[in-house]
Amino acid sequence: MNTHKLIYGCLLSFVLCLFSCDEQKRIIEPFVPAGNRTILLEEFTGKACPNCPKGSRELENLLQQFPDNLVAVSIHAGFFAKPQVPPLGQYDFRTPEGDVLIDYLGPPLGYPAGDVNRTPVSGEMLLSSNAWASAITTQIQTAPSVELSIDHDYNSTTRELTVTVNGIGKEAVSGDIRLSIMITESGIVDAQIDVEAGGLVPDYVHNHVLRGMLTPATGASISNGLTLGQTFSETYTRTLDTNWDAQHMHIIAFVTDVQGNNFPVLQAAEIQLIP
Amino acid sequence: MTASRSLSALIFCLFSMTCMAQDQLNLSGSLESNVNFYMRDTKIGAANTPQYEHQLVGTETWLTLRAQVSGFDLGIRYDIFANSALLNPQDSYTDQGIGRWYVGKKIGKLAILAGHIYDQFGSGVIFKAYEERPLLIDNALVGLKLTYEISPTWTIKGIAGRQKNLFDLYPSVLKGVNIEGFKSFGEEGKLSIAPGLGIMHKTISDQQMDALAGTLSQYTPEDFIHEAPFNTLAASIYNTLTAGRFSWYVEAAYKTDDVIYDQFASRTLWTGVPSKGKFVLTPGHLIYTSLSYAGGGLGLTGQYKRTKNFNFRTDPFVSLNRGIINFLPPMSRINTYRLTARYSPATQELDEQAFQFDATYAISKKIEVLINVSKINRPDATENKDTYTEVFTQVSVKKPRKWTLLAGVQYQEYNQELYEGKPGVPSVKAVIPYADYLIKVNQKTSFRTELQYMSTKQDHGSWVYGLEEFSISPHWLFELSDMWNIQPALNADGTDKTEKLHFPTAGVVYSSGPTRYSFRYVKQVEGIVCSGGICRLEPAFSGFKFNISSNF
Repeated sequence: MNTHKLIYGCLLSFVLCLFSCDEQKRIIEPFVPAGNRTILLEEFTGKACPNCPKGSRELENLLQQFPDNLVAVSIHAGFFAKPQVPPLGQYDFRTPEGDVLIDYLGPPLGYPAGDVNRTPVSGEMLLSSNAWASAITTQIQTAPSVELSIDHDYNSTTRELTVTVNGIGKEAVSGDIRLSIMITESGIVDAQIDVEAGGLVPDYVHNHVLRGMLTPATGASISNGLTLGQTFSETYTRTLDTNWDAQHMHIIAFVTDVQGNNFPVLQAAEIQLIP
Repeated sequence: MTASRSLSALIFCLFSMTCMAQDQLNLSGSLESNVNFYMRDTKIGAANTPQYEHQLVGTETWLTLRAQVSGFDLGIRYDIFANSALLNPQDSYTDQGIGRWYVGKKIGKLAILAGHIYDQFGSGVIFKAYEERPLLIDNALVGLKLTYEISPTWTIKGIAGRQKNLFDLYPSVLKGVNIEGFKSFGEEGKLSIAPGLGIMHKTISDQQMDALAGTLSQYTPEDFIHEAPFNTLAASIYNTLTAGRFSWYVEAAYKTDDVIYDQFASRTLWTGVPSKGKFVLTPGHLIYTSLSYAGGGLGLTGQYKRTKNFNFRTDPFVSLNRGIINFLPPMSRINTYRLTARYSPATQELDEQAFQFDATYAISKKIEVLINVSKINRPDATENKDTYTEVFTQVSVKKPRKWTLLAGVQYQEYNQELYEGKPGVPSVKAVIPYADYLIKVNQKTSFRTELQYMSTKQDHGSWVYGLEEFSISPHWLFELSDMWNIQPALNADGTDKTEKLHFPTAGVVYSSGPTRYSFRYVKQVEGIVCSGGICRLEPAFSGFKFNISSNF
């Protein structure tokens, strides 16, 4: 019987201890962005994905909050981006580069999903939209190891776009340094399924849609490591599709440091194609 | 410890004990393997996944080995997923490794179990670690369990560890204690109680808190949460009172403040655009009770459950069927026929009120009737309040050793917008008459026929389902079935759909002792697959399925 008393006593103590313990909770302070790190957010989405507009709204929310520190691209790829039964609008937003990237970075367990600076969080590269903010908050607090700037020239007659990306190492980094250049288009009106809007939205406005890349999808190798002060300048050319509206296009450039299965983005930059 | 180290240690342990053991070594095991051959059929929507596009074959295998020697229990399970659709039905998953290992030993009244633990407290509302292969749920707690037998009718157990996440672990730490027992009163023991108390404690890691704080720090003032707890405590108290032919189970559970993701909560974005879904800091509670009577050929059961914010997960960022610590019992009938099971409601952990009443009555030894009524709603919701209603009836008539006939009608109202996340679609209202006739030609041979009809104007429209099974015991079973979309629902623009699609299945099953092989050609319509109250939408399937299961 003494054993029983001991057990009940231990159990009671355990319960009382758990309920009475006064833990130090985490105080949450509003985050104010600062510094010159520019973060890349790559969102995987699709016109047939009912929850993806929620992700797009979160993306716009974050762009509003990090106007100088975040660039975003919406990549239509995967199951929900494939041509579904009508009526789902007139455009197929998929690109060969997007199809490569969803395999390279994914596949996602659900949609919308996105990576932040191609850096996994708790082992997951593609995060649900409610985890993007925290990943950005983490990434933004470190200084960039590369500085980037974009120069470009666009001939509206031939629709030829020439992009030059200049960079300088701000610290020594090892690995295969790769440059990626994307072109995105905003303001495209086409159908989208939206769970919060109650179903099909025929005139949904699609923003930051990946239209193509000037480099290979996983980046063009530019250097084996970078040293402090090392500069690079890379130029690429592409002719824009006649269906794309250059007035609403942006150029995104970013540098990744590829080491085996890790390929974090070191720095990103974005400019408007026609300012 | 990595998986390969665990395996090496376990095998070493096994061989060492085998060599040294005076006692006999008992080895046993089991194998389950599925092979799916994908054949694209765009008409039924069996397309656009990597398996249909280029992988063509997907497999899953679980191989378990158990050993008992010198009072020790040891076990290991090797899991292989190769281009499998189990994790995400719309994608492909490939990985392999040790899915489970454990070592156990009983020392007097104390039982020790270390490794991957499957267990539950009470009905599981605060803790249930279990495996459900069709949905790839494997919530094993990886850690230690100690069970002490206080008396022949009272036990106490404590657990501590981290939850399994495929071949990895979630970072949060779980601890729990459960005491339960049994006490009868009176000489005949007609009155008895079986009370229990369970407590679960979750501590999220610094890394998880950093991620959570990072997200919360960017909320607008309207949605801002000023402090977040690392620890959450969930407690449940339960009892089964048995008095003669009556049995009454009641369980009440409470969860302290926890930051959970509420997908229905209104959120204000910095852009000013309204959205839904945000983290909220809230406690949760649950009440579940079941009263039943059995005797004189009559069986009655009434159940009630109220759930409020009882989302209990190892990681605030995981959703769907990932990282769930507990199990909320489903409150609708678990149906098995193809059409009666087509629409099944998933348990709503944030807000749900459910009633269920079940009555069976044996009119004679040959005739039995059953009626089951369930009603589920979300009392605090602003939209999709009524979620599920079902009335299920069945008459069973049998002539012993000759034939058995089961027949009845089911009525369902199923909120497809809520349960399947299909925006704007109306609730499915369906009436489903069905019949199942089994006739034994002789001691070895039998035929079974199923006929079902679903009448509905929603979703895909009305269906007919027929199945013929021919069984030659003990080895062979042949099946042929078809699910026919006899009256498809109208297109979104109101026009008629011209194609009335067929979903045929043909298969053969061969059993030899403990081993069962099945090979089937399957065309399966998109639908909800549930296990308990956990469900998910499975896309259509077209192709062959091969399955082997064995115990040895």
